[in-house]
Amino acid sequence: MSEKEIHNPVAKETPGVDIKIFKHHVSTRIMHLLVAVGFIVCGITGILLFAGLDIPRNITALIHCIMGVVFIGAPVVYIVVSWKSFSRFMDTCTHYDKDDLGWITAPMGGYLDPYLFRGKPEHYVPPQDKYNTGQKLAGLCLILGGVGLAITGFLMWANTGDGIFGLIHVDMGPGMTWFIWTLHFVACVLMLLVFAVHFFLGAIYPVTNVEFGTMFGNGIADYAYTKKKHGKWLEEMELVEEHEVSDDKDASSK
Amino acid sequence: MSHIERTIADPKGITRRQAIKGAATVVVSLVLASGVGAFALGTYKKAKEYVTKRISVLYANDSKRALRTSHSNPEITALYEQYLSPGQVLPAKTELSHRLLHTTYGSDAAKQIEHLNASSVQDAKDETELQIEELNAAKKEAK
Amino acid sequence: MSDIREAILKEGVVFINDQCKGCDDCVKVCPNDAITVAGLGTKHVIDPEKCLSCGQCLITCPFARIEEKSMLDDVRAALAGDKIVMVQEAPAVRAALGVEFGLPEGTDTEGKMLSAMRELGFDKVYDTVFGADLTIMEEGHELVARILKSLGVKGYEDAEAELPQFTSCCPGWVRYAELNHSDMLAHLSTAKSPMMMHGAIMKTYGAEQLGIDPADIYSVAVMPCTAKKRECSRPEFVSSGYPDVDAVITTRELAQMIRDAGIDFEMLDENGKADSVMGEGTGAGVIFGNTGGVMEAALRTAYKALSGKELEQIEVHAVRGEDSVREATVSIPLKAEIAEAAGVDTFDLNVAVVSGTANVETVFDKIESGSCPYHFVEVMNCPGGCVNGGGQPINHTIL
Repeated sequence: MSEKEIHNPVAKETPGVDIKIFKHHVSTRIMHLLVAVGFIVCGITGILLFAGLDIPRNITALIHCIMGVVFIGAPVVYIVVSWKSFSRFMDTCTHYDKDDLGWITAPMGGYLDPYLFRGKPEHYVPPQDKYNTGQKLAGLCLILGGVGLAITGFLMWANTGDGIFGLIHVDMGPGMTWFIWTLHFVACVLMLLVFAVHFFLGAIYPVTNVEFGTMFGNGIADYAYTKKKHGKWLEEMELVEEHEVSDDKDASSK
Repeated sequence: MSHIERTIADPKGITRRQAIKGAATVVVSLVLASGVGAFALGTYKKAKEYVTKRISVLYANDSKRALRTSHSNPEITALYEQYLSPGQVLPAKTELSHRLLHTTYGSDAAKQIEHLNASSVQDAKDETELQIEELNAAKKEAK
Repeated sequence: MSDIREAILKEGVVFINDQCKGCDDCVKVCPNDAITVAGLGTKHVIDPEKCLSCGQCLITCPFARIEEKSMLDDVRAALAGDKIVMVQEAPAVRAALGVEFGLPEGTDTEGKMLSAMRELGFDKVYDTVFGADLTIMEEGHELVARILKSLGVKGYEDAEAELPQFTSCCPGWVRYAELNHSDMLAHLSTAKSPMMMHGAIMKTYGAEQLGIDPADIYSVAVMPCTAKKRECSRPEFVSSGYPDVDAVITTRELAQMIRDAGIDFEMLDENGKADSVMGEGTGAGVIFGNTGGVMEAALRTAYKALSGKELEQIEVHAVRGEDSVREATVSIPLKAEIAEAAGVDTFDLNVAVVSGTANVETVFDKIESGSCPYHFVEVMNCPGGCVNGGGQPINHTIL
């Protein structure tokens, strides 16, 4: 017999109870999928265009621009639709304390252990929130880079001869065109670096590659994994739910 | 043995701090984007100022010169008097002027080349001398 | 004719290299739609059949992916050879040359420029301002003849053509007119540009004055303009029996020569002077480099020719400015003999100044509808005039 209860009490580990963590809401996962597809397609087409190879540039540029709209549009829709999830994410990403210092001095959350400290005991990593220090910093980089890519990409597109499908035209002048294209390039490099680490840790690196299944699957994370990697978050949720449980009890007793 | 699967998640609601941070992110992003946008579109005029500066260089150069009209240039006058229209200043009149200082456009250019190749500068000089003689004779007659 | 001149005539002066990013900034400034547009992001190609060689795209390209054909090697070979190398520098060159050496915009480098020409080893250093004055003499009196013809003055029945008269010193504009308005070419002044006049005079009058064979002269022009390279390559400019101007280099290429020669621009003598006989210029010739400058210079001389007096206010501010089309009317009191022959005392000379070739279409529309009030129209291809020419130092400042 199996039953599934979401947002329900019973948090603490109890023998015989298989606890799963509902980490990513469905809207988050759809947004992430669109952003991932948009980013990868934009990245590939962008690099092709930048390399100046002998390719059908018109269709490539068109795909780049349209996927750019998907890449930027998905988070915008997400912010409106899942306002609470977004706010919670931003709160997490902008909150730093001594545990984050501990994560960095571990060093780097212990992720370097298999490479630089092979055969030595694992470093102690302080308990982390829903996102660890590295993920939080990456999140901020993605927000900044995304805004940068969005505004510069928009200007670059609107500055072309036809503008954006002939609807929006701007005239920047050559010096500004250079500056905006360069900003787009800088933002792109930043995003590619963050993406490379993000993809490596989320999809390839042993242990943490289970995150891939969580984000592209049903959004459920493993209890043991969460306890190890995001202990602080788990504790917070457990506290809240204990509180909720007591509330419920009070309510029923009245 | 019964197997119970339980799922826990983030709370449904958000705290005030979380709401403020979410709103702040949106506001900061919008300010950042519109700032870059306004900067990008606002400097267009400024970027053209160098043209105005270069224009003022030449006007200033003109105003500090003693001679400011082409017909007062002594070397120009000398060129006409000694070469283009011997003895006088007759712009755009003599054959030498026409050969050296005038041209044709479009499909007429071929005829111009033919004309230039068929005659020499010396021919134009000879003809110019004749023209000047004729003019002088006409002037005398008028007097 | 050298290979480079033939190549320029056939392929044009400016070309876009294959590293083009497709940002479209060049397309926006092209006055003759000569840059192919094959859709978003595509690399651009210049159609040499339509290109005016004006170089506006070159100074605009944000990524410096547009290049020009250069005669620099020919000039260097001539300087190293036995020929007497004469050089002339356009008015606009002195208004911007300093920018290449870190001086601020708005610095007049006339003296330093002339000193630099001597340091570089040119045998005779002249000044195109002289040629500009000569152009005004010819073009101004041609205008006077056309006006007198329109007034029915006797002796001018066979004057060249009807009004309005267009200026013809801008090779970009001349090519634009040839390509798009071949039926209107009679309206163009037959006067050559200052550069071509000066070149022809160097190899005739100049050779005579110096007592040398014109065949031994190599004539170089430093221009703010890429279209001048095409102009000097045109086969009809052989009136002296030789190519009137052998090579044209741009302001940027001159700066390159100065740098390559290891000349310290800062240390150059500020009081450099041009050589006599073909080096003296007046203020009227200097302002040729500005939009409205040719007009103003021509007005100063045409006023004198028609009224017998000098303009009271020598600066004609009505034709100054940077608007794309500017109009002005100058009332000229006719001198006695003209007034008598024409039957009127004053003549209202209506002029227009066009900055940016494509804007000339408004004037052509008026001519075609028969409502053109102008007698004289100045057209400069580059917005602002030669000071913003395609051969000038590139300024992409944004702050």
